[in-house]
Amino acid sequence: MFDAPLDGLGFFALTATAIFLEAAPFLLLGSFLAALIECFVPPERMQRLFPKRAVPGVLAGLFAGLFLPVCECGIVPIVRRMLTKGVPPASAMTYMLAAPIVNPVVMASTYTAFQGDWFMVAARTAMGAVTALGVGLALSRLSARDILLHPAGHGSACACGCGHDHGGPNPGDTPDSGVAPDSGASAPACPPAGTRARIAAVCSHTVGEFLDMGGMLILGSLFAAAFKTLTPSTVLTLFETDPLLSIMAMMLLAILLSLCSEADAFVAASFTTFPASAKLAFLALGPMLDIKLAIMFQAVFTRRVVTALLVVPPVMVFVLSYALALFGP
Amino acid sequence: MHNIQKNLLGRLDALLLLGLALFMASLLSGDLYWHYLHPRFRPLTAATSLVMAGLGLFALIRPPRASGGRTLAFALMLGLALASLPAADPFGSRGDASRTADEAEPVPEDEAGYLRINTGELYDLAENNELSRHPGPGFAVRGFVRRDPELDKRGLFGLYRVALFCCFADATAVGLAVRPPDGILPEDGAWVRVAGRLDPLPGDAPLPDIQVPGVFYASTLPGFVFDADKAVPVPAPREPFMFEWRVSPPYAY
Repeated sequence: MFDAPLDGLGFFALTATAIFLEAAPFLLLGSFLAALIECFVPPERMQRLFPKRAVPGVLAGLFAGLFLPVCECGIVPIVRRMLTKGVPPASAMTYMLAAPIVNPVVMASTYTAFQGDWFMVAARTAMGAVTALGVGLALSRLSARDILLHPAGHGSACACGCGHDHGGPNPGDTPDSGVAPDSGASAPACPPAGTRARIAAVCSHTVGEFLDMGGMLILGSLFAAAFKTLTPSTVLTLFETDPLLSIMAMMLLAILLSLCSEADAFVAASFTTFPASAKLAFLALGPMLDIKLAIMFQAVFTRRVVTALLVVPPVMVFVLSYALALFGP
Repeated sequence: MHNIQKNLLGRLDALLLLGLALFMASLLSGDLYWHYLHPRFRPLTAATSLVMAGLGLFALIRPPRASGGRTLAFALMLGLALASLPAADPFGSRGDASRTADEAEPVPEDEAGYLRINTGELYDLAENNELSRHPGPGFAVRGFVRRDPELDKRGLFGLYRVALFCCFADATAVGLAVRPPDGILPEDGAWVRVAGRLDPLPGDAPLPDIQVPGVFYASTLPGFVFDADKAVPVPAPREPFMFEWRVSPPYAY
């Protein structure tokens, strides 16, 4: 059963396909929500929902995850659209990192996976929240223009193919939001007049977002599947006894495996020989940074923001996990 | 890029969306779905397949802005999805279309009074020091065999089931070291059903780390060996994965 020479290739194809099939519904939902935001939520209304000052802004971003729980597969298109609509970066970036952890579905799955261990649920949520707040505050001084690669919602960021220049002069294009009005905006902005035209616009945006982010998701799935196929699990067990090394190994694993935040607790729980601090590092980091997310970040955010997203969460999670290993229960 | 080329690439994107939607629909209508995803996701996959097909048709009429790299990624995904079909049977269950009696609604005990349980549930009972909750003759467990030179020397083999939580990528194997009743070790990869009890592992040497192909991590219950009174070959179950772990009888088995 295990000896066929093509097993490796077969397992690679199976794993990559499974990751895509699992993530596709959530990416589709994220793309649809992003399209609805683009077409139906006026920038001024979006801006009213989130405070402009940094501290209230990051707190609003943190708690938005409780009311709009989206896993990491679908979060990037939504946050991109929030930023183009003038949501302050402090709120949007905090929401992006926190929502896949600080949400009721993930808390429930963590509780189930760890057989009712409230400490694991609370520690995971707290670690994710603190890290998201830290990143949100660090990026709060930037404008949407500093954060987004295509701040006006055009170029590859739009991709809807509807032929319009509908990112056009939005009320939200203020110096505050950092989004400048498009030059040469000649076509009507979303939403277009008429129900049929509106539905068509939502479909166009959903297709564009899904294809754009889906390409990144596929690339991430391929990397994650290759890692899973080629790396023997026994490599990991070399690190399980040392607190420092086990945390680092589990963080690396979280990035490379690219698991869904609704399932990763079950995988973490199965690493029975690893200390709780290493499992928490795995659970806190994975939803904020993995291969497929890193590739999506590259496509959406500017280089310095990508650098911040690749560096700050791992450092914060590492420090928090190691502190827990040294001083925790 | 020329407009006609752009339109062609956009339409190709649309066709690829339709192809992936069709692939999802075919998984739902066949027996292979649970080799990729947990069955609880069936409604979600069905909805995604429908929406993706609708969007694909829409994109055929109004092609999206084209990007060669993106089209290549989706084409590769569709190719891999099709290539994965022959591999979507990593634990030897395809073709066993008839459900065995074992797969009917679980009954707590077999005919000899052994408590039917899966390897994951038994692992948790042992880890939580709750084996004494079940004072009967022991447990009946089934799974596939993993042989290892170090286990061979000790007259043991590994018995595993794979737990699938969301998708195949997060699958992990959970198992036990088993001592067969007659000392004869079964073949690697064979499915067997063993009945017996868990005893403390003799000696100080811990169990070796066992690798199970297709899963990233395999947990072997530490500190115990399953002393089998019976070990019989069985066909692989139609659903080889453990999708459910229960904490009290009747266990999911």
